[in-house]
Amino acid sequence: MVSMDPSIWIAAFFTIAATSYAFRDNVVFKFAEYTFIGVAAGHQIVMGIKNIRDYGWTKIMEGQIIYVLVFVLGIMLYARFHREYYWMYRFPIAFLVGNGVGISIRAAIHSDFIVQVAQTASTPLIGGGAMGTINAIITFVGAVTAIFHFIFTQENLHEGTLGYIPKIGRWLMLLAFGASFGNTIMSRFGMYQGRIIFLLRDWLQLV
Amino acid sequence: MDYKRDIPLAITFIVGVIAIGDYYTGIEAVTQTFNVIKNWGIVLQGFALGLGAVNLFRVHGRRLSARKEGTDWYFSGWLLLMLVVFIGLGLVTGEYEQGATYSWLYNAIYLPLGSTMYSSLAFYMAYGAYKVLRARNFDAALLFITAVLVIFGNTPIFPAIYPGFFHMREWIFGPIVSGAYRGVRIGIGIGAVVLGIKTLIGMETGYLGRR
Repeated sequence: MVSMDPSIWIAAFFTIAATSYAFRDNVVFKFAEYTFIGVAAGHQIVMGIKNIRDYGWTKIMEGQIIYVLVFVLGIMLYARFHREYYWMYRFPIAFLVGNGVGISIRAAIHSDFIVQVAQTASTPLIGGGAMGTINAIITFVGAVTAIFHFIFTQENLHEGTLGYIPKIGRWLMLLAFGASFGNTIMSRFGMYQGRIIFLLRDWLQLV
Repeated sequence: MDYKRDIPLAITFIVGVIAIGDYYTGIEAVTQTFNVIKNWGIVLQGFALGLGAVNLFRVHGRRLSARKEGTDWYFSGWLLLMLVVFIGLGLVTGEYEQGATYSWLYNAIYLPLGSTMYSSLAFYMAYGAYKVLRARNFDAALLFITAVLVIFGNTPIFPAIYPGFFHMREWIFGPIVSGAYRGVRIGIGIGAVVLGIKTLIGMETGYLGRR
């Protein structure tokens, strides 16, 4: 018995339409593609307006008049479309960039640098049996040689006998990238299985 | 002083320093200022999304009004209609994404399309893998070996035939991936900090756009 729910039928149609590109570009896929862009943009804008209300308008209503300034900055963003007043668009963008850069610097220093160096330094190279020792050495060698690979200020580090250090780093990184690639393919296929199960179970009700 | 460029550069510096200062100083006044900055950032992102919508209307509105043959202009009209419908449904009811009709459309259109578009990239990745991962040289062979072993380890049938595939996958994600990625992340961290400092002190000004 096939599902009688119209929302399931619409979802099934768009699932098949979005997949149809795997065979060749076609009108049905284009319809799905444009629908997705329109809906996704619409959804993001609705969420954006909700955020403006929750984090800006509500504060003004509570008497925090300083929040009027962010509305002025927000309107200045639209100066981008004006030839003469284009420069006004730079003020809100500068604010967003400063905020983003500040947050990313503190995150990078902590999670990408301090935590990684501390983990590399605190893992004992010997212990946990023969396999544990081998694993610890590979991990350490991988971390150190990968860093060597990214040192470009000293050209002689990439030449002669020393050149083997960044080369080992590159080989280990390639192995790691291959693993990540394989994992990504499998996770995408896993998601796609979810869509197939939706078609068979929720739409066609075969399983 | 060129106020059109210097004031934005000063804004970037001050906001960035407050964001970093909040994390490292723990001073109450700095934290409170940063909380306001965070809220402002969220509000400005909302306005920036509107900028994207205006751009969509400009690009697709132009295509729709030109109605040139072979440009699929009718799809542009459909895109704008869906955009307006979603914004209208979200705002008119005042319930945003909580509205009954809105969430019905969201579940019927956005969710299946989003997950199918995202997951069907697997086909292109598999095709790309076929073209790229042919072991033409030593480097490509390294990529190929671990990609295949991880795929085998993730598939139920191969570990069922030989359980070693599963253990090999686990081992690859142990010392090899964590070791190499640790080096990569340290490199990324240093790069992000250097680029961030260059942006804060005004050595990177690309985001300000044309002169």
